[in-house]
Amino acid sequence: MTSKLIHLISCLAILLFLGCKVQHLANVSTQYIDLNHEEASNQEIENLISPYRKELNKEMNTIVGTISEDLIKARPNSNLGNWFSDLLEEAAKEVFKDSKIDFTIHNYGGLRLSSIAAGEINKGTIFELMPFDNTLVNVELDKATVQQLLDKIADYGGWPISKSLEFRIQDSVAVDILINNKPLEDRIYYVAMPDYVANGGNSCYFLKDAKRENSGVYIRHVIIDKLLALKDKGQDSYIDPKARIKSTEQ
Amino acid sequence: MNRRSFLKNTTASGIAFISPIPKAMLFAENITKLTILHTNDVHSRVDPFPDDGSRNAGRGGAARRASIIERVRAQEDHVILLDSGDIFQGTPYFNFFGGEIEIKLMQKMKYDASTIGNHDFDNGIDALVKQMQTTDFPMLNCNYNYADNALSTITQEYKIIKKGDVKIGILGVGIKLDGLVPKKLSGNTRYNDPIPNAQRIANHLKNEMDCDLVICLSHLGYKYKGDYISDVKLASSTENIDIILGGHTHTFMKNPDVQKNIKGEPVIINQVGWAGLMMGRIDLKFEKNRKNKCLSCENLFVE
Repeated sequence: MTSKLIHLISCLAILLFLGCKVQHLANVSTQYIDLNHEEASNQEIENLISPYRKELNKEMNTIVGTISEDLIKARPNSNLGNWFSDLLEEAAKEVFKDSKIDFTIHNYGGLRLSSIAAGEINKGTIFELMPFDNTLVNVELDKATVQQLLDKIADYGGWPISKSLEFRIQDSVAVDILINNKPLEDRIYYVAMPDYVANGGNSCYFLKDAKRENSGVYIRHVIIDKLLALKDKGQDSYIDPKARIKSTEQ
Repeated sequence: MNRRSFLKNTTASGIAFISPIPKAMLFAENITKLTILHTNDVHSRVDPFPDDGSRNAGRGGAARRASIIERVRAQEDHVILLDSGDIFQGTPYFNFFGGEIEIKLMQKMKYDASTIGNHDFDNGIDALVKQMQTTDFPMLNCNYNYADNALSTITQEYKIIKKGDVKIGILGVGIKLDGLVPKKLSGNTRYNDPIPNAQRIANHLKNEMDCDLVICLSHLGYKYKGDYISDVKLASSTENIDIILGGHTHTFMKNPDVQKNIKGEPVIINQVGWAGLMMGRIDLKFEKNRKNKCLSCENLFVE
């Protein structure tokens, strides 16, 4: 056989009785066909894809910045999380000029790359990091809801947070919370986050009814623009090594 | 090497391992062979995964899929090509071209039908409708109420395909939208219980339309720990469905699952992971006017 059928599978020596119909199903066999290197590419399909690929690559290969070290995603903290969150906080402060952003959070699962290699990074990498069309939202939270949110993050074992926020995870809740070096106060906080989380995603249902301003811009575009602005100034994006979330748990 | 074997006594397990049935073995007048090729959760993987040393490096890709389809169509007389949803989202192709290339590729490969996955709503109803308007194949779904929106123009509850003497009825079911698809994207599409709706269509296909085979394209997910509706649950709660081609859970299966329906008859459940890394192939052999229902008494190639 010319076929490269890798996964051979099963036959069901079949008793699919189809009543007294004219056609009886006599037997069944199934296979899983692996699409690997051994399989030839169909030229007609290649030709159909080619103009799209060219246009996409032109865009995606655009260098948006440089990073000085390998970024690795991890919990409770990581240099990838810090790098991303600090860019996001700076960007959010510009996007929401009229309110003072206190800090940013981002769901761990919303960042889809586990690592980014040191050196030049292109637009395609940022798209792969954030393929979902999540927009940047400024959510107004009272003291109790901030505590609830940070407890949720603690329970998840840590999410990417910006440098203005620090806390410690103890027994799956957030303690020793510092926001811009001050303990949690009885006031309204302005927290920038993806609309996915603000709308109750990742079990953050308690955020659903909070007052908010949705920028309508995708977070990945905010990040790309921020990186390009730094590049124009000839600056590398900053990678803060400091652990923002301390954990007494393993 | 294959060897010929008599399967008379293998019916206790109901399952044996064989390679595809060669055409030459089929008695031309009485037997129709049907080949089903299927995909699910391709998620905009137009190109193979980049060759970067990562887990799926260099695998997948639409051009390879088309080669396989072309080859099988050249070898077999009766081939149908189906997809179980989540065509969209996952690579910049979708972010940039809004699903245009994914749907064009499926049209070029001559898919017979697909169903709607939750991510197929990712650019909203109008975007999905816009892309699907260019195709000859429908989206099949019988448990979303989309009567008031544009989805009604590209969806059907079922489709019937005749291959040789065999009449195949195909229906589709979709997953609960709440909590999965933002309201602004799914609009006024409403989710209804898949079980009674799939049953309603399957009964119609078998009893009124005289279909010899009923296939359900499902984006419910293979199975869950909790009480959630899944392919396994659908199979065991209904009748008149012979095959469920699933998606959503990105499940790579070692073998198709065979569940019993409410009448104790077998239902085949199959799913092929995600990202177009694999294609499923199911070969079925139908016998005409056979009085003897002991259908296992067939000569098959056994590995």
